[in-house]
Amino acid sequence: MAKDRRGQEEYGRPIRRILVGLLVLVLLASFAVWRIDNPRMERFRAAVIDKVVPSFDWALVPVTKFSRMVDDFQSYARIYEQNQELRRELQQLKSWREAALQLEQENARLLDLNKVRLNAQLTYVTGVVLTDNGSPFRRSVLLNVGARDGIQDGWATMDGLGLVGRISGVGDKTARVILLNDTNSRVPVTIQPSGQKALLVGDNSLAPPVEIIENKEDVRPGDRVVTSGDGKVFPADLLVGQIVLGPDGRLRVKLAADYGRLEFLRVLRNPEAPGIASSGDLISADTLPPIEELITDAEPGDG
Amino acid sequence: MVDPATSRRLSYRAMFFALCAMLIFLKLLPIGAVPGGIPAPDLMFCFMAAWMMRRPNYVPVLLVAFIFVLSDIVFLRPIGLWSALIVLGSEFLRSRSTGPSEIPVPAEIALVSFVFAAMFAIYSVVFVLLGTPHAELKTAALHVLTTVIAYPFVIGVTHFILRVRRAKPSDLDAGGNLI
Repeated sequence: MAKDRRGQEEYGRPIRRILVGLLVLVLLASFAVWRIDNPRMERFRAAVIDKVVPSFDWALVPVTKFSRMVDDFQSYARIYEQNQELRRELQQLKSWREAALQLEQENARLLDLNKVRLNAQLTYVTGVVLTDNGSPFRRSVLLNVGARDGIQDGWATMDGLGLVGRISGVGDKTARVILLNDTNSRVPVTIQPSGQKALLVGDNSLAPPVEIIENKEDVRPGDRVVTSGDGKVFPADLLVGQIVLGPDGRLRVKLAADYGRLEFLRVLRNPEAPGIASSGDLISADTLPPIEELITDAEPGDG
Repeated sequence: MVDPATSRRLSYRAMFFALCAMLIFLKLLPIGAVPGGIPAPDLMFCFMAAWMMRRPNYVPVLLVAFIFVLSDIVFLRPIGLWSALIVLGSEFLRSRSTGPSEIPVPAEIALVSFVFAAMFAIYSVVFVLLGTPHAELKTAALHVLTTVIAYPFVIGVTHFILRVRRAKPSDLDAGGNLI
């Protein structure tokens, strides 16, 4: 009996090796497909997550609540410190409140003069954060709203205060938000008050750097950063954060959204968001206008 | 009647699957969303390796492939690449653990650390070659380091709590098969 079994293994081993090789090939092929036809595989991924994660939902809520409770309890330990801190902040806030009231009155007067209508197209859907993605190399969260609620790829997502990220991957009941500090995130922004345009580049840190600034001298730490609306990626003038000077000497943005506690997020309905249907085509020369035309267009401005 | 050895093997396979499902679940919890800290160790790899070095027949290659493809999908990794590397690495470990001599624990730690570092290096190199954005070197190195540090603890959990141990002569039945 034992001999028989051993005999089988002698035959079995090379066959097994071939089958394992085939398995590895299949996996590598699926990686190649992911690389080549990314949107389709990402749709597949969204569908799988849509099935898997909500089935965890019943367990996610109590565990998350419990861990938050532990966090809160830890904060009791330094209650005196916090009290002092809060007093100081309160003092500052009082002065801010004065300033805000004055500004509000001024704003109301100006709006009245102008008869401005605020953009009525920007309505939002609120969702609850289900999970983050558990990887140290990616920054994204999963919301419990999806195609069922009319969410589309590319819409902007905010918490109460500032921009959080961009919808990327919509399942029926869930949607994935790529956060601003993910390495794949690039957002065109404007730095106020100088009005410099720049690009906010995610680099997996809490304060992502801004790049491609024309005049760095005009930008100071403390300047406000808002979305510029360039490329129609996002609506314009959503608050992103404040400029700070990083320890490496680069200009970075301290995000206004509270990334430590992402719980309820607003997804802004943005009817202009461009869809991405394919993995990208080459731009052929004949889709561009002829060069002479570009030059003649540019010249009258000079003269 | 189901053969007791078979049912025992199946129950341990189910246990491995449940363990990995729990690890995936824990990683998905929306806590620890703050970046910049020390990246968590890859516990799923650690458990896979620890079980593989003790009882390779509890972790069949198809189960490993299925679990890691699922984790690829859920953790937003490129689908298939990491799991292909895991299958290769696990088969390498399997070939070591079914050898004639028993590997002492320090040598096992060194072997598994080396395998993980090699897999992660290949993974990163593929990313660089394809020009996909990837985390900086420091985070990746820390990730490998924390995984290596976590591995002895995983061995402890596997040995003392889950009671997955190397097959001893007393575990063999009359026919010379594993119970």
